[in-house]
Amino acid sequence: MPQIKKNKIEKTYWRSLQDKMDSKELESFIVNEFPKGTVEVSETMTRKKFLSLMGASMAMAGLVGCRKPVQKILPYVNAPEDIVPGIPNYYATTMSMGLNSFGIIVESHEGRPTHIEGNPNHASSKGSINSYVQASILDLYDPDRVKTPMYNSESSNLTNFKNELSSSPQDDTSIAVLSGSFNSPTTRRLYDKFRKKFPTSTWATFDLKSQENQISGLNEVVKEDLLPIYHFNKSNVILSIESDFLGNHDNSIHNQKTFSESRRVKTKEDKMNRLYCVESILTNTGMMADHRYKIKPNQAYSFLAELNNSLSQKGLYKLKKINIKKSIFDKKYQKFIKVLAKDLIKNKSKSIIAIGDELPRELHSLAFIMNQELNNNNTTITYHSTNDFLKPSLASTKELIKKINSGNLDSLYILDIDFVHLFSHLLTDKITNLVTNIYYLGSHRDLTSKISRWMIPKSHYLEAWGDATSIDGTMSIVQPLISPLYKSISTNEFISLLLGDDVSDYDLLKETEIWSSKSSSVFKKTIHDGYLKSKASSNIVNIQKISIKSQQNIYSKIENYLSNEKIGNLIARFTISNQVYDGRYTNNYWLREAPDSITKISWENVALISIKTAKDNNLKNSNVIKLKSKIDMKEFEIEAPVWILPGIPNDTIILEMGYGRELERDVDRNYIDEDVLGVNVLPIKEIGNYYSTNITLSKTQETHKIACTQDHHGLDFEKLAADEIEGRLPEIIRESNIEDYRLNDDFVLDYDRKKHIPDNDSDLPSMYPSHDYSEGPQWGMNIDLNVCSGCNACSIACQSENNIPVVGKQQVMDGREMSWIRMDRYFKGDIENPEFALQPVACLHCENAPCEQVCPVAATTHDKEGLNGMTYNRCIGTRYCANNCPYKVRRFNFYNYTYDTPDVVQMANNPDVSIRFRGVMEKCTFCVQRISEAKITAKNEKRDLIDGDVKVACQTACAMDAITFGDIIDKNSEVSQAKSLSHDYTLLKELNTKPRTTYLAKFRNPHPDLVEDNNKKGIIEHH
Amino acid sequence: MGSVVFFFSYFGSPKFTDVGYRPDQPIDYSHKLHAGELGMDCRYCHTSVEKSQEAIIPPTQTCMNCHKVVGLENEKLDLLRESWDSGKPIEWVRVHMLPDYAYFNHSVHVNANVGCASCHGRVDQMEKVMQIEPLSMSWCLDCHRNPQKHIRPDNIDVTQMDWLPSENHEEIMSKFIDQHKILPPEDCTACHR
Repeated sequence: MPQIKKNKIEKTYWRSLQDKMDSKELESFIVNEFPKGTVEVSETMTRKKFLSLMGASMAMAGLVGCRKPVQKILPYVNAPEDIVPGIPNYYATTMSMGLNSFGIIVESHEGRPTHIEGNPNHASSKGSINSYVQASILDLYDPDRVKTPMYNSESSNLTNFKNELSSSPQDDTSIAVLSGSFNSPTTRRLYDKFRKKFPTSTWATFDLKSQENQISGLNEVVKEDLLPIYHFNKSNVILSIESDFLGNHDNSIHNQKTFSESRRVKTKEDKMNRLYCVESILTNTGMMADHRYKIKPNQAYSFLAELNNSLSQKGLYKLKKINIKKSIFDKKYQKFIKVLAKDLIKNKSKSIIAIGDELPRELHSLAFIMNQELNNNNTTITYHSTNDFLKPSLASTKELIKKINSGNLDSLYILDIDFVHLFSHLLTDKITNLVTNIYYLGSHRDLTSKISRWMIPKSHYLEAWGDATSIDGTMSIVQPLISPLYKSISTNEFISLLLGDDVSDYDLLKETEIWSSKSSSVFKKTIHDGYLKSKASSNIVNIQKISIKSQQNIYSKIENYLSNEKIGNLIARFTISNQVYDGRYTNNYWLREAPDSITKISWENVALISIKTAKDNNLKNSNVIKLKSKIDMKEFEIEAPVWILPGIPNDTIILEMGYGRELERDVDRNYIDEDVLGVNVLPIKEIGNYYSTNITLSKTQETHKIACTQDHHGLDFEKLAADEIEGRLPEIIRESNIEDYRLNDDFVLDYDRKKHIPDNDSDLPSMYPSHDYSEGPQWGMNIDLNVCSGCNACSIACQSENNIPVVGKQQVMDGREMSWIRMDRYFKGDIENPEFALQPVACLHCENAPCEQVCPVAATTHDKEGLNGMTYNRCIGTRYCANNCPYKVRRFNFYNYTYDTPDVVQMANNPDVSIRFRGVMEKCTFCVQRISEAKITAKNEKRDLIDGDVKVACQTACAMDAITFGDIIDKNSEVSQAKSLSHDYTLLKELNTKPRTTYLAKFRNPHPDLVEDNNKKGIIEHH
Repeated sequence: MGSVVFFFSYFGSPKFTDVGYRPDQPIDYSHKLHAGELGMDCRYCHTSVEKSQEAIIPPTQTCMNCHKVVGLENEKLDLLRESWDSGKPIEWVRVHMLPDYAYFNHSVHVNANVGCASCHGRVDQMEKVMQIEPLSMSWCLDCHRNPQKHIRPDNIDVTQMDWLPSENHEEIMSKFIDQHKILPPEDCTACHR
């Protein structure tokens, strides 16, 4: 065990509280590459003994029955015209999530969809995707999907279901349907038909993440149902109040694309936007912010009221002043509000106030008014009609629950909502005692399917025909990539059955007016392109200015709240999960295992609390707490493990919804067990409120281990013999204030210069002869830390493209997660009010790779084009390469992680990439399969490669366009231009590894009046 | 010890285990008849060899193009007709096998004018397909390091099975290779993904 020099310098960057405190536990993770499993397997059979035994038996083995294995080739009988085996086809389709839809292009190998990318021509995705869209392909191949219609939990068939529907006469008032919100014109048509046929039935629309307050808040002021789209590329100053527009947001891809446009800095003359974020949780948007201030969930009212008054005072005279008795903010916070107001006014018509979906409607109305006075409406914020959408309605849901509780409901049709998980705590009795018949269209055998009379499997969107509209009005068609794998039907077909018709989803699509009115060639073109080209598609509404004087009721509501606010000590704040969303991705293991970008926890949800709250309640990580709440005179309680997160407000417990869904699985995979069920936090949540007051907390005696990856694969620069300089200048994350950059544009080299590292790394001495890289293509990559928001889309894209296995919670706890891209999240500075930095690290493809130099069997070699290649069949698993890698990007297959992969899940694999066996090292390959494909295509077409021929998976997924990849010999390529920027730097340059992936430094753009305050954020006074 | 090493290096190498592999196929298809005597071009059946990494085994439909009218009484074609009627594919036995971790691409070789016979031998003279060349990595590298030996001049079709190189073949080909920038990769990443 090497001696570790205790460093007396206060760390600038730290990855977790243990890291900051230099805990002993953490040392073992940093010093040992593989902290566990470095002990001999057992006393009786050591490795040495094993080898000697094998050597002896080798002579005897191998002669018995060595027949060549027979491999069969099964060609088609009738070959389909458009499939050439070996060449993938690409089809455009659309994925809907709530009220928005994303145009995607799906790669299909021999009729099997294998990888999803964004459709460059579709306005809501513009060629990129987010982690949900990327991982949705795994849901298609989910082996636990319900495969046949089930009648009282026994297998049945659709004919019986159809017969039952047609034979039972329905009395309107006793039927109810529960669905999520829709943006599809065909579904809307069927919905209208249903309402016409059963006028007194109930149709409730419920979204856990709902836009309802946004829509009704805008309706209050402009009398139309609208949704905003933010155009961050046109704004200089952005204020987010509880709006995670870069992360979990219905239009996140568009937001990321436009935000990165105004954020990106290439030269010192470039402008950069400024982001203020005021939130009660920690989000990707908050981590990106230049100024981030905490509020407790209920204090959004106070903040907006004070901001309103400040804006009114500083120039927006039309704004009505809101009556506030006493400010809850301290002097520093008040200063912040004043500076913020000044900044917003200075950037009239070039600013955005974005407000979180969950916030109450009067705050949405107020935000609209402020945006109006700042001349942002119709310029940086456009408003779009939602008339044709089926919007979420809390009132309808409450009415449905009431109806159920009254026992008057005969039939309840549930369209893909886990009713029991969401609502069972609101019912007065077991649902089976209240509703006679439940019909459930869903995909998994969850608790709702158990109580259903009929459970009908729902087709995945990649198996069904349909259509979709995105928020900006773009219409597109959903085309299937594969026939339904099981006996499933789509939502449209289900509603059609309820109407008494038996129509296929293709015919239902064609009957919808918008498509039936188009010629066959336009229809085909729409399917091919992935969107309908039409001027009429745009649904922008030009907003007229409203008179603020007439909006008295908004102000009354706000003032009423402020004067009557009575909350208890603890608040539970509910959020949508980055992993399971609202629970629908419970069985999607790519999403479950990808560490949450905020907490770095995989597989489960936790109760997040601040450091002070933990101290006050004597809590440590993994302690299980009991949370009790009183809603409508009833007491509810849940138990959840605790996790301490710096940067969240005190006395607030942040709980992720969507977990705790109990599913019955068909396939027993060794890493899925009750241990990763998570906690269903909905019982203590009041429906429609995003936070619960009157929470009491009590500590239980139990602990629950959590798989958190924040300290794994640490790049601990202390061990690299750096001295006191490291305390002053950060090395791994290099950043600067944008104003300092303008004065000193090669600041990135300052650190290296202090350590006497030459600017030009070819002047560094090396023991090894360098390769000849004079001829192209030479592959390189550049990652712009300034725009990376840490959303994890790149990591999941890599997993999809490269067949990376899922290892399960226990293995993640041992540090053995397999994702090739590691998203490092660093805190900076003060424990109470940290700043953040995010850095994705994958194999950097060093020219002087330390891993190649130590491989005893030359399994990892360097090729002529600069790639550090990996030959899996040669690897004997010494793991010396991973030990030598200073960036800790190599991943070892400790077990045969793919041995129990069900056949159907294997269909999701990319056939162009090997599946790795046990005992083999793997790492990022710069998508060598894509490079080979592009080179071969170019050779076959007898031409040279051009920039843009090769786009690696992470690059296409990134909606912030943070990753560039290409030929560094070509001076005009995107990547060469990025690398030539003055703030481009090499990670751990002094090691002379000469990595091909370099980073662009991060910039912060604080307001000059708040610069000293940046390190000492304002606190909120308590009443 | 030396004899053990020799034993495994000879009997374990693809030259011994793979060359000469001539499995029985479900239908006794004779390339000698179809490609040799009848003169059918390789690409009539193996259609994707110029476009894709795989030179596929033809679907039953391709055989039925002729055999809908030819050989209607021939019992050897019973399995073929059964496959066509039932929709079940014929289960051919694969002769030329590469391990799963090695990715070979036909199209780039065919487009670089490497003849079919260079790797597959005189298939047009085979009653039953037999593997002629070891297809081991060293054998592939022999050509990759010395492509002028096996690449054909522009005017010779790759499917011309009986072509033999002329005397100054390598000299002509060196020029051809430089001109067309034929650069067979010698790095691991070319095939090992």
